[in-house]
Amino acid sequence: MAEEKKEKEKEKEKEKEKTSEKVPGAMPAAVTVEIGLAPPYPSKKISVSLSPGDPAPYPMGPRPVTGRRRARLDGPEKVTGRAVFTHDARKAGMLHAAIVRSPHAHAKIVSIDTSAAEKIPGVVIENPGKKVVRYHGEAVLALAAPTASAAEDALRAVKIAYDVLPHTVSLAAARKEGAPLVFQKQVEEKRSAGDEPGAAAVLPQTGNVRGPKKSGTGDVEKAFAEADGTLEIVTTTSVQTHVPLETHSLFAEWVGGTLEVQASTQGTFSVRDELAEVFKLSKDKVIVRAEFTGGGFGAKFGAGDYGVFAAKLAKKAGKPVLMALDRKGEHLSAGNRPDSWNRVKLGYKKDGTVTAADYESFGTAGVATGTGTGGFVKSAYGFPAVKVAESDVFTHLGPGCAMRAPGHPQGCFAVETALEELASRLGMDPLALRLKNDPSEVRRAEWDIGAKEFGWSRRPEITKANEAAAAAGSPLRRGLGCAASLWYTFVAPGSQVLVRIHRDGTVEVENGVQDIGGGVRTPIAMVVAEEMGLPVESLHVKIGDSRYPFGPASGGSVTIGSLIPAVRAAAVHAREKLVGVAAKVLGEPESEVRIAGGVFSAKGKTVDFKKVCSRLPGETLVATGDRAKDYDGADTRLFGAQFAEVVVDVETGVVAVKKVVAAHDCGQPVWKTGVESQIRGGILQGISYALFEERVVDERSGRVMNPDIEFYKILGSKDTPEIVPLLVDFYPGKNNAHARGIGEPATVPTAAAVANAIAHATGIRPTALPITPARILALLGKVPAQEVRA
Amino acid sequence: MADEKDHPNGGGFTRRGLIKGLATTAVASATAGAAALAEDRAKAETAGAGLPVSITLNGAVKKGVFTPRTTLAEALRDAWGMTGTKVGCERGACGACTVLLDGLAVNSCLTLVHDADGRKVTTIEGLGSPEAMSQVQKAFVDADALQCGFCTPGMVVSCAGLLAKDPHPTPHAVREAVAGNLCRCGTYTGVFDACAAAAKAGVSHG
Repeated sequence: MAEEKKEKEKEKEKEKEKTSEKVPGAMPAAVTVEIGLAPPYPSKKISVSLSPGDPAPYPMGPRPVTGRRRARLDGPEKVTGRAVFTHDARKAGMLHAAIVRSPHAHAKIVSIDTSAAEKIPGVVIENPGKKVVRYHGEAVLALAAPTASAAEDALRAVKIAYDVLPHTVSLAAARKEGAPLVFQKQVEEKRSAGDEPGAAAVLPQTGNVRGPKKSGTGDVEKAFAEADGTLEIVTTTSVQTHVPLETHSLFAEWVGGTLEVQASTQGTFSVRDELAEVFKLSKDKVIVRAEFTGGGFGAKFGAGDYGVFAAKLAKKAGKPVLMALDRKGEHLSAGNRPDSWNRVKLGYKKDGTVTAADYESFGTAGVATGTGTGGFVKSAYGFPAVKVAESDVFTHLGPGCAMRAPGHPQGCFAVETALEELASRLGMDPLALRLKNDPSEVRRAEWDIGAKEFGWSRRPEITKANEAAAAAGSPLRRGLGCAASLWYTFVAPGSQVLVRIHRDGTVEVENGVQDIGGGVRTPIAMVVAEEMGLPVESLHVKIGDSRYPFGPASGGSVTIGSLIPAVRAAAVHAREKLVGVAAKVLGEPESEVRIAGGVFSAKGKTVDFKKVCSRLPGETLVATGDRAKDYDGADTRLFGAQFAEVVVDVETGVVAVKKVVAAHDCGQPVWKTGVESQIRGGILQGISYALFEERVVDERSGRVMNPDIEFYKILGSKDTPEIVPLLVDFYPGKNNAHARGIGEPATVPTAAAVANAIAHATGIRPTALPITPARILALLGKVPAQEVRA
Repeated sequence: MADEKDHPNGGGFTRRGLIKGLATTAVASATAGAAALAEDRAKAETAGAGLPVSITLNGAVKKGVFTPRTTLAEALRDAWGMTGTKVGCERGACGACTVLLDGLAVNSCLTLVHDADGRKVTTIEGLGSPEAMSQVQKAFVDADALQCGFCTPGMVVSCAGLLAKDPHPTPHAVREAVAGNLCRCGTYTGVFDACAAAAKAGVSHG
């Protein structure tokens, strides 16, 4: 057997050699890659072995198309209303679905009477026969009717009798002994794309507390004993909801035995796989399209209960069904960023060196798990000794889920607040303290360029100006703050890209990936355009369909890093095949053929791209590219440094963020405009988290009081500051395009930077998010302190 | 034990529910009554019953028959298939459904279609197409004033409404004009830049 294998491998090797002989410019197996920051910073050269067919990585230096700014390819569709979202699915005879939700935090369902609803013409009902509901807003049953209004009428006609049970809805109350139990049994963790690798599936469970999950490095107790001093603080953060402008939605239609779906999703293929599993269908019998998705931020990976309802209702009715959650259902049931209680204790030396951190977190994701916030303290600075204990606390509230950099804005706020306190205790400049503790070359460069652009050196003058303002009786104070970012490079394996060239010169690029706002069509086109010497606008990028080759779900900043290397491989392979055709047309050897500006040339002879395409041996030329495995390269962490400037009115407690400077790394950005837009968006969500967002729950009734966007405040136009995104020129290696993501690291440090700026402006230390006027005035001693929630 | 017969949706009211109640001047207190009423409404809607409406929509006269409870957003999206206008909250909080009613930016989810009778309505489709974008739309693309694109039609319409009335808006006026348009992706700075660029382009084009 072993010999046979060897034989086969030998044969394979021979095959490879043959192919590389045939393809001009085929890549050698081993190449040298220059990795690190571009000059003036030092870089290093490493040797890596490439997977067969994978192009060699970009050398350092500018490229003609990628790494530059340009307009978004699908912009014209989006600004004219032509882009069709799932909410916009319209088909003759289709039904509109709606969900009957529990008004109680915890109740037994005694009876469900749908007879009156069934009398409304055209109404179809899917009642799974639930016995217990565990949160306000939990789905009990779903129905569909010919119009959205009729569906709402039908909801009202459903009679449900509940036997209300005791509930627990706050982190503090749920942790107490004797609190009503959310689950009687051990809970296993569901994994999501935003999770850190290695999350434990099963952990000890006592009452509603699941955990602690322990991790860390070094001897923390010894480091504390040897420290010059220790400092301990506790921070809390509130539940944040995703609030995508397009609520979760799914359009389902059964065509023969095939389930055809349009979904507002971050994962075309994850929706397909879930539906195939639920309905026991082979993967080809579920077709999922997601051409445009109106925001996701971590909450839109699967088909969801609403999606399964839609497909079941469509089957029952024999008609297409559109399920679009209303805003209330979205808030209550479709996910959120868990709240957190974090205790951080630092051991430090007099010179500001942090030698150890002891970190503990509790958080509630309602009926779900995954509230840990310890990632930041472990990996952001690389403190020599770190001890982390993270626990989930179950409550009778809607499930939390991944939200843009899960756990990290919370953990960053805790650690960066502690560092700020330490700087203040030691009389050190906050930035100097961070540089003292930051071994990352990439982030040190970011601190440097960020501080210069921001004008961090103004800080002492501003402190003086604040003193003068106070003396003069003016209520306005200005403050500067900073914080570090941290995220990781995750790669979703298995991405494949197909390039299809037609005889008329049309070039299609296919991958099933979805656009949730990052604008992935544009970088795909830029990479192909660069390799094939064609205009970016001339390419037809086809995405958002499960019938195309596999693409990653968009979460955890994985899309670009997972997909772009496969795009580049496919484009290079297509070019190589075309060169073969061009060589015949030109009558010159392939090795002499060059392509630039849509023209093939060899030894002074030229032929244009269209002409070559007209001579394809088949009706189409097809080339594919796979995402090769990562090879060696730089640290997989993503860094970043942000600086915030605020003005605080100490009489009203109102904060205005004036400016944010954000220095980030994302390898070699493909489409710079899109990267900058992601950074701006991450910052605005971070400011919103810092100052405004708070889900309010009435402890007595267990109901969410603000499941809407009138009283759940998110940042708007008037709260928007000036934002300056900066990028370091970084070549991390690992893949052929030095490709990495940016979505998560852009939002991690913003809230902490804003909080630290408020501290500088006012002298108070905000330890609870959001930093509302009431909390500021309480910290200033101007109003009584509010009850601490967490 | 609580009986939720009146409020199966959690005891809250929805905007559409409220409008429905007002528009039909019938508030059913008992489930049986509500169901009967719903039955009648559904029959009426299926049969295309209601009152006629005539609107000058994007420059052309558009007629339809609608029950009193139909909102302008529903008429546009469901009856006329013009889905460029988005619905994000159905309560006038997000601005995704913004259209111009006689030149004034309004939330079409809060406007009954009968209140638009005899008036001029301009939707995102009326401003331009991918093949022939308006100045504002072009400026949005150039400034990358969009990400997922769901709030974008409403943003564009609000800016177009502003520029029609105030061709040289101050930065404050731009912020004010889109204060009712929420964007979760965080495109506001792009929107400000786009509006300024469109104003400037408007000047240079006379």
